[in-house]
Amino acid sequence: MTADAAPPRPGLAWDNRDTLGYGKALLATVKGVLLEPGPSFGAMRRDGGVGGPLLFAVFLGTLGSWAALIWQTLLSFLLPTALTANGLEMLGTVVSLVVTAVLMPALIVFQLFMIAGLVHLLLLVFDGGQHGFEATFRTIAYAYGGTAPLNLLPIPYLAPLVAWVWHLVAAIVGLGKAHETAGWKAAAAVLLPLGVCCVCICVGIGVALALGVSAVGMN
Amino acid sequence: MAPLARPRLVWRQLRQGEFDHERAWGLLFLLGVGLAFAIPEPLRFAIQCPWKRITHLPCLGCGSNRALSALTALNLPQAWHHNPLITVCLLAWGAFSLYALIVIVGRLPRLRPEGPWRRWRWPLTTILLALLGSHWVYLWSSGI
Repeated sequence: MTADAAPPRPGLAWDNRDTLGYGKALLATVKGVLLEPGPSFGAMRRDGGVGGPLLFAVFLGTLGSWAALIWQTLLSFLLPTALTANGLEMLGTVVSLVVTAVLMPALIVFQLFMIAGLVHLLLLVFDGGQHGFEATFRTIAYAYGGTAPLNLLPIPYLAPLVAWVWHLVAAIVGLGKAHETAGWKAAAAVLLPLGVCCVCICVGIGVALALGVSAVGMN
Repeated sequence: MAPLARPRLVWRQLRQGEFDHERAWGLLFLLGVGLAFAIPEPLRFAIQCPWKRITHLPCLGCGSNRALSALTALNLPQAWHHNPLITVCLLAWGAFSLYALIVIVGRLPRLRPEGPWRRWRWPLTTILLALLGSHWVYLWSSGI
């Protein structure tokens, strides 16, 4: 039982937020996931519940998604097509923005569990998920939450894309460390759903883009 | 060559610190049902499958939104027509959530896999891939 023989992991800064303080722990975890995903996920605890990582991912993911929505909406309203839109269409866009923004935390919770479930299923297929679903979920949540602040950059469409790609990289590195499995198994588990089921891409990045798309296409 | 041992499903209580799948996936089902009714259809259908737009071929998830809309209207044949995979998965998830409700409320033992499942992963994966392949052929041939 190698899992039991391994030394205990200290955990990410967010795991120790009660002693470090929420702000400090949040910044340290984001910095670790963004800049040093290997050592960070190597230190991540595999157990301890999903509530902490879920809170981290939902808080930062919601902030990042709101920022992305605002940048995309501003850009959409600046496009020539928006200038010819009538008041009703503009109202529709604003209502869509509000609905999306309000539902965003729930969408992120749903998306995280679906992605983690699919990734863990594939890890089991490749015999790489020996530390259980909880380790997979924690990795996916920390990778998502840690890269979501990239959406705060005022670069419509590009910032969400960069955040999404870096999220994939962090998730692959993280799963390799969390499950102590080969990198190719982690990469296959993360990347195969993208090729197999595009609905996951749509749920992941499409919801954030939906308002921008509908605003651009309203004429 | 020894015959493959059979994996089993056993009823047992949750262990200390073990992840509670029934609670998590049951609550997520409720959340999903809520979202399905809360998200306006125009917003859901504003998202187009990038794979289909590029290749003009359906992905395994194509038709999911239409299947979901049909399911929320309790139109099972229509949901099956648009995407059998999503329809089966959602119905199975609903059944699992019902089981989860019963075992959580009744504080009953949980159903867990035990035995040599790892030896069976490739036969199971082959069957799964065959089913997914058949599903994709159906989507492609029916013009979803």
